[in-house]
Amino acid sequence: MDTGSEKNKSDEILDAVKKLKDKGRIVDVEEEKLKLVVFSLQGDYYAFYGSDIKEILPYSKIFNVPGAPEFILGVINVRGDIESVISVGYFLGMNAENKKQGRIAVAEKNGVRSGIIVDSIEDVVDFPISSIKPPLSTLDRAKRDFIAGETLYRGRNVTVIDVSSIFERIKI
Amino acid sequence: MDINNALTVLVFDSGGIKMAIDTAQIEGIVDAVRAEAEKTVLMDISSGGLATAGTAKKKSKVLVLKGKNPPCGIVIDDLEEITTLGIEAIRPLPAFLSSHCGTSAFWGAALRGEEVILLVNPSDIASSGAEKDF
Repeated sequence: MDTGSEKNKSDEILDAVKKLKDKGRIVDVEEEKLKLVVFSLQGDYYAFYGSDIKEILPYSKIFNVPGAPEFILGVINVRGDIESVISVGYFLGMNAENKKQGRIAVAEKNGVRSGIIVDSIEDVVDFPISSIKPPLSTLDRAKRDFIAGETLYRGRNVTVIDVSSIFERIKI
Repeated sequence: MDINNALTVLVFDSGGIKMAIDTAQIEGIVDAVRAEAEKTVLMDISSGGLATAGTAKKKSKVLVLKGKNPPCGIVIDDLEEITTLGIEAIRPLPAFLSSHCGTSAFWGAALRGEEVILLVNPSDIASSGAEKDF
């Protein structure tokens, strides 16, 4: 009996069995995450993609520009530069109002830059991509154009806003 | 317009908004009643159009613009001062803002401390304001 070659053969078989087993193993890989800036607006939670937000400023006086469209609340002085301030609420069917308080999130996307006024910034959090669901199909079509998805934060629904679609609408 | 690194402007208030205009663009300053009597076309920039019949009476003064026929003027609430703005204090308005036709009355903004003063573009204010919104 040639035990050497039998052992080699058995080793080969066992290696093949091990490979088959490894193939079926579930490998634990960290899920890709997306940073969201969660904010509140008229009592509800919304979010911007973190990559769209350059900075968050405390509220400062917004200087009205006569003749500007309703969604442009005016301009502010940011460290010697003039930045526009827009109302994201306008695109969500709310009144575009300057409540003279809150925070201003400066967003930049596709060559357009503007401040966006919000009531408060709640958090900046990494969300698993899988937790962000598409917007409800029952949503008003006009609003849905500006919504990238929905997710949950501390048990509350968060609507993710697509800044690029807002900026596409406002630029000429 | 004087572009030698400084601009002499007249700063005024209209509808609670601080604005300024190159003094070289101003023919004169008259009271509103006289301007109406002389059939000056009156613009209320703060509301984005022609001054309504009662507006000029409520506002005290009119800046009569140079080179307009028929005469054209901007109704204002209050004159503040004549000052020189260094070029370093002048900023363009954000591109998409200045491209909206409603805001073409302004060519830029000046910074004065924390304050933003809108710079008026008189060449875009038509004499026949009824034909054009600015």
